[in-house]
Amino acid sequence: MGHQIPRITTQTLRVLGAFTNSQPEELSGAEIAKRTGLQSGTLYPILARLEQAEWLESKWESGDPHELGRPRRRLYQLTGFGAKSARAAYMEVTEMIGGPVWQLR
Amino acid sequence: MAASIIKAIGVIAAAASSKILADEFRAWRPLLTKKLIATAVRRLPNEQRDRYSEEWSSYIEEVPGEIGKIFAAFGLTWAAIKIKLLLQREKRSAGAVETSRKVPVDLLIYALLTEILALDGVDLRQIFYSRFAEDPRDVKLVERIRMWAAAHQMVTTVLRLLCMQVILTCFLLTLAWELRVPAYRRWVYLSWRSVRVRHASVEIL
Repeated sequence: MGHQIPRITTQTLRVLGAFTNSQPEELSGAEIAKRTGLQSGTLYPILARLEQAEWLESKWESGDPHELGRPRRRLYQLTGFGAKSARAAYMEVTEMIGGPVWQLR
Repeated sequence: MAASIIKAIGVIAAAASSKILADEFRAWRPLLTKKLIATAVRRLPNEQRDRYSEEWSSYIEEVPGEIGKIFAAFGLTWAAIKIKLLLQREKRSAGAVETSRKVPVDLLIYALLTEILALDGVDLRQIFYSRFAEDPRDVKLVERIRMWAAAHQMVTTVLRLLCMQVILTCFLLTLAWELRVPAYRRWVYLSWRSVRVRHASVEIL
């Protein structure tokens, strides 16, 4: 897949915001849901869309599920291209609404 | 007195039954969420099922509260439907890209073949010349030969002009694709109805 631009919604920006303000940089779906307040039905399609557009990349957490005693988490991380594009999207929206994106709730 | 005793017994019974119900719910909840995840995952393409099955099982375990877990598991069915549609769109988009690259090349080949046929193909005149050689005094035949020769010439010229147009257009399209001319690629994407690619557009929902 090439670098196609995904549909940017306020929820998408909230997901991107969770990454840009995150420590550590790798977040699981549950952690992103906690930070953004999004439900699973909204969150996972956004993650899939951003991953498809190569704004995010994901990998399994290290460790064996038997040793961990639970299913492995899938960890998401912003790519370099994603970070750059997210900043551009923020600037665009901020310019449009004349204020920070976080007001869009 | 009796009423208050009955009330007390009722409260104790309600408390006990609610405790039993809560325990039952806690006991059945993992099975229920597992079933819901399995239902959601079944909606995804085969190659994505293992990934999302494990990912979502892990996600559900991190959602706080038993009822919260059930709601989150229901939400995953909706997520699966949306992800499936997204992946289908991606597949169609890839098809569009492939087609847009393939069609001009195919047309170019067909046009070249047609051009070759027009140049070296069956010449109608040959058929009439052979008959003319049999009887050169047949005036009607000479007229017919002239008429067919002129028609053939005209058809060949039109065909050749069309071929040249097609060859030139296909060559330019192929060149534009290979040189990654953004306007052309954008047009290819946007002209493919099922593909939804937005360039630098932001939706406020």
